[in-house]
Amino acid sequence: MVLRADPASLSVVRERIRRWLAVLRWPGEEIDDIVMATNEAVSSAVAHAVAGKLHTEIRVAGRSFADLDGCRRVIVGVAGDGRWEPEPSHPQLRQFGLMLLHTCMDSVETSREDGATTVLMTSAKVPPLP
Amino acid sequence: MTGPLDDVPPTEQLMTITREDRGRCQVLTVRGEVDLSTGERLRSTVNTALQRALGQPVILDLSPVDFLSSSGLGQLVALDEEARGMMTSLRIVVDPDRHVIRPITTMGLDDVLSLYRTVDEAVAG
Repeated sequence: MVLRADPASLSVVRERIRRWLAVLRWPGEEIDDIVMATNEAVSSAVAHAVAGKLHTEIRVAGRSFADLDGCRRVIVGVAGDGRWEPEPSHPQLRQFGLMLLHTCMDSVETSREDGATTVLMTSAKVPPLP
Repeated sequence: MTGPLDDVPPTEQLMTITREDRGRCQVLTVRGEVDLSTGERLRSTVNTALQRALGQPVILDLSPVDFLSSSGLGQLVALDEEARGMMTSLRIVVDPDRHVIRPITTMGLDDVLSLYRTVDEAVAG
């Protein structure tokens, strides 16, 4: 999905991710973790964009996949213009946001290319569907 | 999940705060989401209550909150510090059974903030 870098977009992003995971029949607690982590990453992109240009776009995409052992994970990507860390700029929030992100997801990778930042987050694994 | 988001709600809808007095305590009840878009409004509303409190306790009831992010947590910590600076007790009510409270415990803030299970318990102090 593509969204304007507007703090109010966050609740819609969370709802979309939640619905997507519910359709995939993801377990409840793991859904909360993925929604929280996505919220943190998108919040950072939004906070950075608000500080900089207007009308910046942020892109969020997700995909589920199966590990070799059949367990499932999702990977969620958040991409936005500019160079930003997956953590807000306020010193106190920076600490919480990053910690929360890493607590909720198994791995987090940040890459930068052509003036844009992409954060890729891989969720904890959940059992295969019966 | 494609296409731009055009169903963004106004932030006034995302979070509401109501205020009432219970004895000498002010009780602020928060409904909705405490996040990047609503955190500042929460901060200023509670700050106003703290200033009006004149040392009496202020109770922040978060039990109806649907979502609390790291930015919301940051606001709570900042408010807790402000309250201490004003020698005022900021008592935060959270429902321990709901997932909303997880960020508070994950970040170890249950040792920092004054948490209560119900408004009645918070009023009793």
